[in-house]
Amino acid sequence: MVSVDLLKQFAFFKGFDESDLKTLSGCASEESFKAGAQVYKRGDPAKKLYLVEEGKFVMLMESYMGTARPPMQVTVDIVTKGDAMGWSAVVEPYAYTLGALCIDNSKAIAFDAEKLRELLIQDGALGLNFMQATARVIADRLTHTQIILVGERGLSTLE
Amino acid sequence: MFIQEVELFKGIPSHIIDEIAELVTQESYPAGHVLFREGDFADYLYILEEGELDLTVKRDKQLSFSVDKTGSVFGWSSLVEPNLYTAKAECVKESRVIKIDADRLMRVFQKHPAEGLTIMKRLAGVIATRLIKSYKEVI
Repeated sequence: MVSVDLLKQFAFFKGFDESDLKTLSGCASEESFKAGAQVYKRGDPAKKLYLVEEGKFVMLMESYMGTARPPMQVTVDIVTKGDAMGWSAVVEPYAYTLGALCIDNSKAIAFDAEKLRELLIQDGALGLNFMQATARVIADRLTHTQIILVGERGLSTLE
Repeated sequence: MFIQEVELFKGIPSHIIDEIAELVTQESYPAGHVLFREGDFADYLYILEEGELDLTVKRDKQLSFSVDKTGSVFGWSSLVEPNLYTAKAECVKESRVIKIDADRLMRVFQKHPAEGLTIMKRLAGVIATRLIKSYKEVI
């Protein structure tokens, strides 16, 4: 359980009312990660959705350079304070699409995916709000990735 | 094409489909027609009935996604804040589309939140598919 005031600090919850945040706080807890910790790997069942309170995570995708070599981990995005991570927790097929590696000691609010999914179905209005917020996160990520793809500086924009 | 056949609306009860059907218009465009540009206010959600479109993002380089499957959804920015299209949509061939007033569609969702959630969840899946494709382009 985390406080409603803590949840209010995140742009993700813009437009949510107090009672919705109270309901959501019931399936959230705070977690700490040391630099170097792998939070999840690509393809893992998405068991948690995170909101980053402090620190930094890199989003990784495997790049295969032939069968003789192990796959290379390529950074495709960086997640920092205020960002959401692990949206696959509420979008089918509920498997992470990227890996997440902690690169600075970090703290995050973690929502239990199973409880969260149940909650969203039980309370449709809250569910709709939450899904709109999630769509916004995915859309922001897409815009960011497209900027990297079409920008001259390419991946270096992540530095 | 009936809207209940569109993946996004499958399994939605017929009385809600009827409400959505009232928001729909069907339009045909010649090749070369631009439906919207990147940064335009996103007021319509589109579903391809027939033809082919390109969604293009252009800065120093160009990135394109082809929309050529009947039932494909595009213009999802109309249902996601800040409601600005993130790409230019241009017909490659003569095309027929279904156009849905997004503002009124959102009001239908709010009136029937459980079904609204189902549809928004599927829409999040559409955006996610586009995102995963983009990640594959990065590496």
